[in-house]
Amino acid sequence: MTSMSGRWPSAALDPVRRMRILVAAMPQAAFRERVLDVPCDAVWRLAGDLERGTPQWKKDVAALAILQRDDEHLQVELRSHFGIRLRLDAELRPGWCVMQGRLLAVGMAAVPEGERTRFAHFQVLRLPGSRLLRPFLRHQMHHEFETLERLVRKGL
Amino acid sequence: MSQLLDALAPYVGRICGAIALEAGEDASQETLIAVFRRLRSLKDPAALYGWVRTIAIREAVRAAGGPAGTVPLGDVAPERGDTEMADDVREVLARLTPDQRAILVLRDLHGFDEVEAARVLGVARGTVKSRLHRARAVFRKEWTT
Repeated sequence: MTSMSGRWPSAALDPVRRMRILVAAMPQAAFRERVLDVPCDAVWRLAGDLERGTPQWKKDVAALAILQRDDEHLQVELRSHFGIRLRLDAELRPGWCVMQGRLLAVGMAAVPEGERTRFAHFQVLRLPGSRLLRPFLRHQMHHEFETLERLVRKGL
Repeated sequence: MSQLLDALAPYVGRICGAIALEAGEDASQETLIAVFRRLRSLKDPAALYGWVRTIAIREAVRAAGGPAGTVPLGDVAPERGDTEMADDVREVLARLTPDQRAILVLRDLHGFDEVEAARVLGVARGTVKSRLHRARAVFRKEWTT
């Protein structure tokens, strides 16, 4: 029996499952996931390219700049269309990105689902009453997913 | 939170993978969702792993179809990159009930004694003893044939 130690089956979590778990700890977060009808590597080429990709599909982001990079840990500055600038600590790896700051946390995850992609996204404003914004943010995500899918398909 | 998830995921994955087999990913996800939702209710940080282990075992047994649920052998897909022996272990585990796999995980993977295992599983010590005896007998028989 002991000879089998280290041979036991072990379950791994893919990035979308990880995101569902993280969101469970943030009751005020808006979260949405959807299967996009485009391949995962093409989705991540755009979504994982934070500086060039994010402003194209995230409705409220005017610009995103990477200020520092240490392997998968980044510091980024995000500028909204209203001119608000936020510095966020980011963790970026294939299929996974979470950016967090004092006022905002945002994340995205992608895994292949056959030839398609399961894409998950959350956003949370760390302000009192931000839970009320959830329906609005989820509605916005619906449109952002459509934009992302359209942009990826155009680039294929 | 992300670091805590990185720390807990392999621990939960080992428990859920061994008990729930191909439903291990679902069980791991449900375990960690329950943990993260109730994290603030944990009074003693030192009790974290014990608390997580109890939830993981419960979720894994449930995901595997309940205490007496069985996994059809044909449905057990080998994990990518696993060795041949790991696949053999997986196949033999699939012949046990989730309850029997849970007791093997506690005794042989975590090194719990009968009293500790009985406490975690919420059953009598005698039940642990008999389940373990049956589980080992099945394991030994399947492993050597």
